[in-house]
Amino acid sequence: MNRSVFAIGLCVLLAVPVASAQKVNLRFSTWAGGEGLTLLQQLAQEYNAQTPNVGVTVEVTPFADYASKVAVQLASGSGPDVGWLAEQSVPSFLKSGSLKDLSALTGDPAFNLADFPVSALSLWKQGKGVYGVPFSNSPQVLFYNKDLFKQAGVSTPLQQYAKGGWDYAAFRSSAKTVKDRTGAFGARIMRVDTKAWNSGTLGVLWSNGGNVYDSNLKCAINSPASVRAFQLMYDMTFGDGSVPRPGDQTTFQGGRLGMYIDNVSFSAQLKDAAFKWGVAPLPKGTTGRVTQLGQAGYVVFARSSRPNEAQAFLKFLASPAVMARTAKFFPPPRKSVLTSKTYLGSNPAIPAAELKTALVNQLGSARVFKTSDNFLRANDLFASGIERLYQPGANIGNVLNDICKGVDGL
Amino acid sequence: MTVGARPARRGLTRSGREGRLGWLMVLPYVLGMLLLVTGPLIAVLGISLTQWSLLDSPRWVGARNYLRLANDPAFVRSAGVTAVFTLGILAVNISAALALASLMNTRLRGIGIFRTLVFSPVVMPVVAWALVWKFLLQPQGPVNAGLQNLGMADSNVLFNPSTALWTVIVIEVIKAVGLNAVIFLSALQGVPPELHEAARLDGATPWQAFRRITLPLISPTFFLVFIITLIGALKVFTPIFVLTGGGPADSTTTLILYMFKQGFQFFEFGYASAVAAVLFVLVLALTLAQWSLRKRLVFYED
Repeated sequence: MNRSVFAIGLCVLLAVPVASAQKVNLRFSTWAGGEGLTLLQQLAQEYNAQTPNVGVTVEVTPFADYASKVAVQLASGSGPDVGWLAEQSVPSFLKSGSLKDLSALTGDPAFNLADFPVSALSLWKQGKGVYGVPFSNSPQVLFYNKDLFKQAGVSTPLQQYAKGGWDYAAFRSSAKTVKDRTGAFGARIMRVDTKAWNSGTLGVLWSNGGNVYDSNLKCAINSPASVRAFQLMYDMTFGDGSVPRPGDQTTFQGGRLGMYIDNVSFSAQLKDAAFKWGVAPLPKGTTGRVTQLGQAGYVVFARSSRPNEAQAFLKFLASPAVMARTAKFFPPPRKSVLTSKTYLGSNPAIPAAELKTALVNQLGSARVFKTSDNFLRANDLFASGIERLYQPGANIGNVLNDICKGVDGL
Repeated sequence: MTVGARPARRGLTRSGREGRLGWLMVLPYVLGMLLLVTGPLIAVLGISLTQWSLLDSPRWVGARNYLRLANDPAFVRSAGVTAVFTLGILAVNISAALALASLMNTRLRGIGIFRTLVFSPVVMPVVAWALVWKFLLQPQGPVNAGLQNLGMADSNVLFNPSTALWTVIVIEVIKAVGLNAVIFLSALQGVPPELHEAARLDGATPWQAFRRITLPLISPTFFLVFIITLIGALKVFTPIFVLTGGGPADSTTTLILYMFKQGFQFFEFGYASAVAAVLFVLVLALTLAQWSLRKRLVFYED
């Protein structure tokens, strides 16, 4: 009697998963936050509404640890089916065969692969295969706090740009004036985490003739022009006190930072900002106005047990209609979307004219950070060297020489 | 607790019945130990003989990872950081715990509140604790502002390679000292007051009484606290990871952080496993050494 009750119970328990197995559940991995994440969750729901047998769970891993956590998930057999991947992680994921070839999808005329610039796709191609579809082609721009500039009585970066005077001297003096007159920091160039030192720093280096690697991928962060660029950032930090020191947790969202260099998608985190802000191009240096181009794409992971459903969801995300919606936060690689009027007016927080000036006009001179295949190790040396560089009384030339000795010795 | 010789029950022999029952009762622990400790331990030793990026399949390289360790200056440096960190924690934590316990053992007014305050960091979640300190230790945060007022210009203790390690040690001790203090307190309260009374009548100074009576009587506790603090210090990861991530300039990269970096940042799981194996042998050797010293240094009443 008892045994039969148990048996029936067991059957019921076993039958539940069998019944729900009719429905496919995909796991989508992303590092999105704020409104960008909300949009992705909404897209997942819409996809479920139009293909009821496929449910999509959106999983978030913060950007700093994204690649390593996803790699661990994949290795342990509990990886996501489909998700985002940033440009710096693409070579290692390709090398290990972790990405599914999507050429069956991208070869479809309806997908219109020609809508993507060749330069935007090169990273994702290997042999005849296409292993990812970029959704974000994003030059770094300068966010500025309009309220602080107004309070300090300085014309905004965009106004100074319009007059043609927006160079690094103007950047430095604006930051110092904001600092002196409001008490808030004038500018943050690097992100809070020194591991992400290249964000912001690269624009300053490249625009002033400096570099991290030369054309043979040999370390060049100790070249005379690089040293001058670091000297400028160092002097703003320790001389003017207008740039926060390493360890300082002040963020732009908090309203106590005049200027901040980041990708356009950062605007998704400014929804609740209690101040007015705008975007402008980076300042001009001795060798031009060069900004870093970041890329992120959709991929299907090779170990997915539902590769076809995952690819179909990727097709939905990368379609012109959906890309026009994600474009609100992520500058779209599809030319048809980028040049459309609806795109430039899609981000209610940034006026079309500002977006055009800051972003579309900068795309031509934006540069992708090309790194060597040992970059994970090299980046650790760069980051730890930069921590030694931003110390009171540091000898910048010596520290940068040490970094290059380590990086070239790898 | 010892199991005395009880009269055998009728039927099955004791070894037959209680033995089986005993095995059944320790089974969950034995299984857990085998599956979650011994298994991974053997796996780590195996992985340490391979080159494995996690995304591809492991490749056998023999002892190459260990040879590489011997010639890796960053490994040697992180071993040095570990030594300073561990000795620093031991010295600061144990002396502070003993001092706090002695204070808590007195009958001063408000000592209950003081005990709660000393113990409360122990129950704080470690990440929250570290994050709060990270904000307190910002370049222009309250701690550095205080130090600057004391004449230390440009003080930025957590982000200066020469002071970061000691800053982390102090934060870690404040977090953990309450537990050791409570353990010491219970030992101090177990010291019979008549011994102190007799010593006082014989004219012993308070220091002599502490040195000759209290310390020998609490030496088993001292030994316990020493071992758990030592092993704990060698295994500290989370607060360092949150506070400094091993920086600035690797000045707080202990062996555990070095292992994490090799594995989860550089994807060299073979090399990271070799670091783990060395750390395991180190902890094992230290524990065995302490165990053999125990008989000479620890005083047992019975």
